[in-house]
Amino acid sequence: MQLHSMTFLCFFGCLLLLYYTVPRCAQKPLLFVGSIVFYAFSGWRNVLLILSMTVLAYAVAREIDRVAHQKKMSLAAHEEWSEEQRKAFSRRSRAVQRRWMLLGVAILLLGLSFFKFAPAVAKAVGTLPRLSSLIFPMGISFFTFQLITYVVDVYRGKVACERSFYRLCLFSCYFPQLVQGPISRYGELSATLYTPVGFDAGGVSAGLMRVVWGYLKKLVIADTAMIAVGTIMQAPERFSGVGVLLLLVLYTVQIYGDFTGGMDIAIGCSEMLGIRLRENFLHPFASTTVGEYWRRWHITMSTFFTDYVFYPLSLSKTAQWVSARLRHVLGARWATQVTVWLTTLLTWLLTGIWHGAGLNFALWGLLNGVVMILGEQLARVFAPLRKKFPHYYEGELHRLLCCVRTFLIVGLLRTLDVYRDVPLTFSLWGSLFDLRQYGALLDGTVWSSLGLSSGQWWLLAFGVLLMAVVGRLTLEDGEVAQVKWGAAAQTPPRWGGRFRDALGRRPMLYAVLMALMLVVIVIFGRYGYGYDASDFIYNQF
Amino acid sequence: MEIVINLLKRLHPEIDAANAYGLVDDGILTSLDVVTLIMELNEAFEISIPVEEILPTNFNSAEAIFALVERMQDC
Repeated sequence: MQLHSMTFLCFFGCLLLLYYTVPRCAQKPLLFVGSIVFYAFSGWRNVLLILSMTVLAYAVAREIDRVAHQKKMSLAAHEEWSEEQRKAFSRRSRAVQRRWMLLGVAILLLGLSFFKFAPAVAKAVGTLPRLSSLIFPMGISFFTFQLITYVVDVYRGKVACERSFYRLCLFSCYFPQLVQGPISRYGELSATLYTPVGFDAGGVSAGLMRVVWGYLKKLVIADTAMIAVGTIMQAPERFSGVGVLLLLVLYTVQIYGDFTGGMDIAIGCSEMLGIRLRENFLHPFASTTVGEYWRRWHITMSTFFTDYVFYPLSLSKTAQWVSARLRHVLGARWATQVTVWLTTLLTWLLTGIWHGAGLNFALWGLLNGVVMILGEQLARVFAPLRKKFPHYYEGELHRLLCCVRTFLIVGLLRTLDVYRDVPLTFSLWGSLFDLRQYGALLDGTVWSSLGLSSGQWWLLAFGVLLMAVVGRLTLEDGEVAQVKWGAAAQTPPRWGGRFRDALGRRPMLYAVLMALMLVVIVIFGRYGYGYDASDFIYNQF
Repeated sequence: MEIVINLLKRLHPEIDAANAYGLVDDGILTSLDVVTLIMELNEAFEISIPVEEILPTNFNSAEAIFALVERMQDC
């Protein structure tokens, strides 16, 4: 079931009505049944898959908890043990817990890898045709990652082990996040997921506003940009030079509208049910560096890879071994530095491979890592200049230039995802330097060849402006702090900020804005018969 | 404490490492910095800081970092 389908609207409308009319004790069981029904639309086998993966995570976490309990009991029962004996016993227990955690994570990853890579491998090898036509279960990455965070967090002692299987199932199957995230952490989501709620007009109306805004971004802005992107993708060589620059901008508009639109729908629906999901985007194009961009864009994925891949990899025994070997060659300081760079690149490589099995995705990941490392090193090189010219470096012009630079870098890297052919991408990047072609921007030939009417170009331009304004208006102070740390341990901020409060106080303004957005969607949206509203891009993950 | 301050100074020469109290909250330390710092601390103090100790409160100031080191030495 797609979030932008009529089936979903009917499903969610019925669920919402029942949710606030049944007795409160029945709300969460209803939500669980609703989530299963939602996922069953993608196939009953998928329901069995998600339930069996939840069984695994449940069993492993219980085992980790049992070992912890046993350790506590044994230490309490043997007060005569020396400090050394107690430490040795604790270490042994921890090792057993670690083995359970690794086993759980490995099996969960194996399941994900099978569905993600087996069809591509089977297709490449040319055998096992049944495997190559395997249907990818919708949202498998998101619920697998969620279950991994749960198992690891129980091992790390960050969250208490969940004793109710039904409650853990609700965590993994909760429908708004199933399609394309956000990747929720058990500790955060459980704070509101299991609490029965009464009807809160403010929360429901704010959630509804966000859902409609999400549909507008997806159906009007992203899907209009998609027409031009599709035209370029069909004949990339025809649109070299200036076409690459346009693709860079248009695909960024498309993916931003598509992905953040999907998030607005998911988080807005959840808010209408009184359940808070983590924010996944915090005004990403206000980023001055690529590192900051990744703390603002697809935050739950970035923090997943930071907390559950980068940190463990960097502090692993293997990393220590590499660092020790490098120390002989490079000296202590550079050995540590190079080891951190290597684990950064490895983490980004894995991030790229998660996005897809192709070489273009691996390269996209690696290049992001390289740019981040270079960015941090260059910032240190330019630190004296910052001190020498503080007015410029702390001024708005410098900030704006840095934002444009970040936008161009991430946009350019993202074209690897569009062209999906590394040599072709490199040759098209090279064509960007052919300055003669840029005249086509002024004489209008390139604009008319991309399949959009002049009206649609204006619509797109207005849409981009609107997204920037709304993004700024809905930014809350708390979000800034969240961006800085990478959001690992803080309470998710509330979308809307002062804008939301202002709308809450002015029902007329709320009604007018809702009516305006609905009219825009009805007139300019790409939906219904005769149109093919595209799937959300992140559905395929 | 001096070792911690020197390590912070090396990572971020532009800050007053001894008196900075929002290294994480103010976005000065990135994840790459945190990992580099931990590896250096592990080496300098012969400790092993586990991943679960990577929390903003443990890295917000030189004092907090040093308290973490002392705690790890007791383990």
